[in-house]
Amino acid sequence: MSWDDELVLTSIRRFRIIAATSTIGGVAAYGGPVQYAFTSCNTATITGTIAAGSITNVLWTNYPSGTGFVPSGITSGGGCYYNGGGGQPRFDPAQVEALRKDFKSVRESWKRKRAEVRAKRLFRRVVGDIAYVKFQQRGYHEITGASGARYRLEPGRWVQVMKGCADQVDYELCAHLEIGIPWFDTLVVQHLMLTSGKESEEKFLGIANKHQAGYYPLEELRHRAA
Amino acid sequence: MPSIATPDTTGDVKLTWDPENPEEVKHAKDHFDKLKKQGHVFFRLAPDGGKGKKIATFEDGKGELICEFDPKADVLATPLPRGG
Repeated sequence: MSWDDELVLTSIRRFRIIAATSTIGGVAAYGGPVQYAFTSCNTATITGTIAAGSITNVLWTNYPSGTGFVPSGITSGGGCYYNGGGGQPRFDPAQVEALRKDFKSVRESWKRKRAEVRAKRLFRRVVGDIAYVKFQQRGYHEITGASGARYRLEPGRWVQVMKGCADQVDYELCAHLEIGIPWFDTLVVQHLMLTSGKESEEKFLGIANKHQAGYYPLEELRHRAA
Repeated sequence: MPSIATPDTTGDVKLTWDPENPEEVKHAKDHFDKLKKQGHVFFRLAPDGGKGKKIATFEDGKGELICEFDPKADVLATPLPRGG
């Protein structure tokens, strides 16, 4: 049985009638399926008759035997649709689903934010405070590679190779970590590979794809990164 | 405390250990070796920032990593970037 808003509401209404009268047999008369989202119910009372299979409990780990039951406390539900039994809270399954979805979305967003903060901290630690402040001011991180070449590491995954001492871009490189890893981590790796030794610099240059200057809209990216 | 940090989608995953505890050091070395097998590059992180000191080198041509585990170092273990 799949979750269906209409079905759930119908089932709840029927269940409330039963609960109010404590007559479990009434459920069978409706003949409709009943869905529960209780996680436990240790004190269920088995009474009356409900057609086998008419009750589906998607979360209940402690499903009582028998064909019908009245969960504990439902007779004094006071208008609550659901009673979890065993002291469990009461929730409307439709609301629960919506809340779960919202919570998942918030959690993912929070995780992402935290990842970016962690990556930024690592970047700051690796390049040092002065370079980090400059990066914030200028929107890029400028380094001199082990070979003496000048690079500008751009937000995202791009590296500009500069012409000598001039403020002119010779060409652009693109090499990055797995998509999904915060781009500050990519900056860290680019920084370390280009500055730590000729060998690793050459390795990086061998991996990176080369593009003509102006290939990427870097001004826009800098603006977004600020 | 020494550590091995590996960038991932959570920012980075960090393994730390007590260099005086042989069991923890062994665990860290195993982790290091495992990352090495996966082709990670290792950089020692300077405590005060600045340039990382490379503690691993590539064997010419093969791209094979040769590295040594330092039980007292803060290390960044990163997979090789890919062209984009």
